[in-house]
Amino acid sequence: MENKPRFRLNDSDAKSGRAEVLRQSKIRTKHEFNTDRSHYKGNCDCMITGGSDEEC
Amino acid sequence: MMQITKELFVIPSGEGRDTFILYAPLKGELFEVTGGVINVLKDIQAKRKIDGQKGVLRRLRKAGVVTYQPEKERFHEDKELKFAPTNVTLFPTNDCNLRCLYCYASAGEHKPELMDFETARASIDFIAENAEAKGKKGISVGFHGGGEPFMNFKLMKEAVDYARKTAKERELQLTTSSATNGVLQKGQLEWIVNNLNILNISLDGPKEIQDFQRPLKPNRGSSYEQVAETLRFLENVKYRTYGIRSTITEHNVDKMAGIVELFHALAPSLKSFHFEPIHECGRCSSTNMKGVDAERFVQRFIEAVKKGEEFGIDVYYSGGKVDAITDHFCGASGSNFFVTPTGNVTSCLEVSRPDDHRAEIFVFGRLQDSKFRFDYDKLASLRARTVHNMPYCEDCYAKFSCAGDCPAKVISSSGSILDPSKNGRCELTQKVLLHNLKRQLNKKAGKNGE
Repeated sequence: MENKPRFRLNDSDAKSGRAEVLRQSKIRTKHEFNTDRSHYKGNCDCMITGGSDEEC
Repeated sequence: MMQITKELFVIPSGEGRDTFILYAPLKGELFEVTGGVINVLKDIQAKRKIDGQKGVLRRLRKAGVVTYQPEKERFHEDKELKFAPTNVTLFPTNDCNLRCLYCYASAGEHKPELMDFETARASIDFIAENAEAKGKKGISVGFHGGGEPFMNFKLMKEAVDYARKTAKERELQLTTSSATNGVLQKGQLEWIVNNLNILNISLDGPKEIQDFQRPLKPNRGSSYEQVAETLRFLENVKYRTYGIRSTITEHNVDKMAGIVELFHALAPSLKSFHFEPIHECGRCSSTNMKGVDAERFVQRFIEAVKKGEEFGIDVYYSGGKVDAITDHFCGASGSNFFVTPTGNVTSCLEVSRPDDHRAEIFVFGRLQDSKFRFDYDKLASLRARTVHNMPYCEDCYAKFSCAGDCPAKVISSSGSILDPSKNGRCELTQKVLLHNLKRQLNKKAGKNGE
């Protein structure tokens, strides 16, 4: 798959220079789907048409 | 030994700068860093000695980007072998009073099929039995499908009455919902207010757009006027649990910010609007409706998001969310229980007809002799449709946001639900997510916009 999107460390072309964290942000995950797939909690039935799940 | 978290992505900040966005979605961590940090991380990955850099390493360690411990698997295998859903979506009919130019189901063109009460009853009995057996507190019954559900209003009323009675007998909570084109009669609106917990209405914008893209059957007048009347009714009675969804085409893409203003005026109680770019399928082939250019959609979508912010409204699209992580795009991956008018079971709202070539994948069961029978091989294939099994997505920073995107659209473009390489929505989702990541970083920095 030649054209597949590649955004890993080794795909980046960084120049050598000072190592500095410019900005940092913590993302608060509101919805976490399928980390317990035995129950399918909070699963959206259809993301495109809107679906009927309250979570969506 | 120091190691890098498995799911770490590096995105150039752009504008020719040697700065990068570091994104660890499963850690909920986001950074903008100089190229020097990328080189430090590459050294760690290659197990090369690191000199100095204590301050940077401390921050990366604290965030879990650099770890000393093996990481726990975040996603779990499906342990439920039996298919025992506690939610059902019934497709009352394939008939429709509209002839939307892009309808995925070409609704109204086929011989009308109406679901009978026996099918609805068997579906409700099935989910109620499952809920009881699993010790669940409730069940949910929804209406959707390749037609307008309210074209079989009798069935909807019977099904909700039966679901309510069943839930009461078994001491279960009941949630009800429906999608609709919003062209409804007063009696139907009154019933909705008293019987449905959630309603999703499709509306594409101002009158000239709505009436062009979502016309009534010939010579039946304007659909816009009727949907606007529906919104006025719901607002007047203070029904607060409904939403509006718009399909974005080349005809309304440049009006998205204005559509937000219009919707806010029509439905001031709503706090979110859903915009979705058109996918060329179904009736598009005969109406010549084309997909929207990704760059143009993203640009206009960002304007619409900003307009929404002025009113405190969340404008969203199915991909590119930063506050949700998932390994599957939707419930089509083996959890949906959708029953078609003829009693077939499908996991995709867009695939309900047996003559649809995608039915081979998505239709995995059937009501037979009052019992549901399922093809567990098909179900296993659907359940395996996660981003972990999609090599094309492996190194994409949007992988836990879109999770391979809509399987029905992906299979239409490539022939396989596991191969999104020909899916035009990838670019769009990546752009929206990148915009949202930059916005998140700017929020933290107290800046506005880009």
